[in-house]
Amino acid sequence: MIWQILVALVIGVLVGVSGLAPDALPANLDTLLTAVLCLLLFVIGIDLSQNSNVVADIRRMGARLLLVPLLIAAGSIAGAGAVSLLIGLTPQYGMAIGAGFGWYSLSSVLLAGISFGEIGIMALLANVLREMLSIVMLPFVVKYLGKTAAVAPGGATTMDTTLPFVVKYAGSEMSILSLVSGVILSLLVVFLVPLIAGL
Amino acid sequence: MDAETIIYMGLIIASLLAGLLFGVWKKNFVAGQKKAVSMAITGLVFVLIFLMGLKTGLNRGVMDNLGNYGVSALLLALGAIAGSLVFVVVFDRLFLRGVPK
Repeated sequence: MIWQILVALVIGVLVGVSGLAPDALPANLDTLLTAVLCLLLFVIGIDLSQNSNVVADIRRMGARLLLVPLLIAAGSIAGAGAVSLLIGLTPQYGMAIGAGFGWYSLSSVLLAGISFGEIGIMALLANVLREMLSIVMLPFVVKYLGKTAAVAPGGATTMDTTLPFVVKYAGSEMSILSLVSGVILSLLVVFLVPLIAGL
Repeated sequence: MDAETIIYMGLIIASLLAGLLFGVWKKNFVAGQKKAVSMAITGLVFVLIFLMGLKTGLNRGVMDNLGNYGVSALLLALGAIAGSLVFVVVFDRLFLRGVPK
């Protein structure tokens, strides 16, 4: 199904770039996205009620529920910091971009004031790409690295936009970990991005 | 974090919870109903990914800067993803090997 998903994504991007979208759409797109997402999460909730025992799942995951997002945070910051050395970016800023954890709208705004806007633009692009890439690579992550690993690539977005894809590929029993991890990482973005960037 | 974000997070959590409670209230679904739920998820996933693509395509900040910053941003994204995967997988293998899947 990953190819169909990729095609739907590309068609969406192309429609957006080409200007074929109705004029009223851009202004209402966020509302529409939220509505679709809420409906989808409602259905995922139903699926979860039929396919797993949520209380037992939460108990079984125990400390993993809180530790996994912290590991994802540390790994994202370290990974982006390492890459910034390779591409000649100030590591501090690379790490701050990594601490966006896929939440591109917030991280790009927080970092907009650095280097004439350059860091904000890179935060926007890197975190948009993180969201997209995490969806595309999820089937392979689940296959080779396991179900818990499925919540790592999406970072903060496993709370909303990438949650349905985590459920699709890793199963509905991962939805609680996905939600909790995404919420904790979203909260961390607010504090870590300014802290690391020295703002 | 502004009020809008908090309301959004609340909506997300409430939607999942509402579905969960609805499912628990309805008790066990028959096979046909389970299939309908699964099909609804698949259908909505496609609507979602299309809209996400559309939002990105309409975002001038993204599209206009891909040429200049795309490669660096791609490498940063891959670095962050790889780092998070390494940390989670190493932890999972080292400390949670005994946890039943």
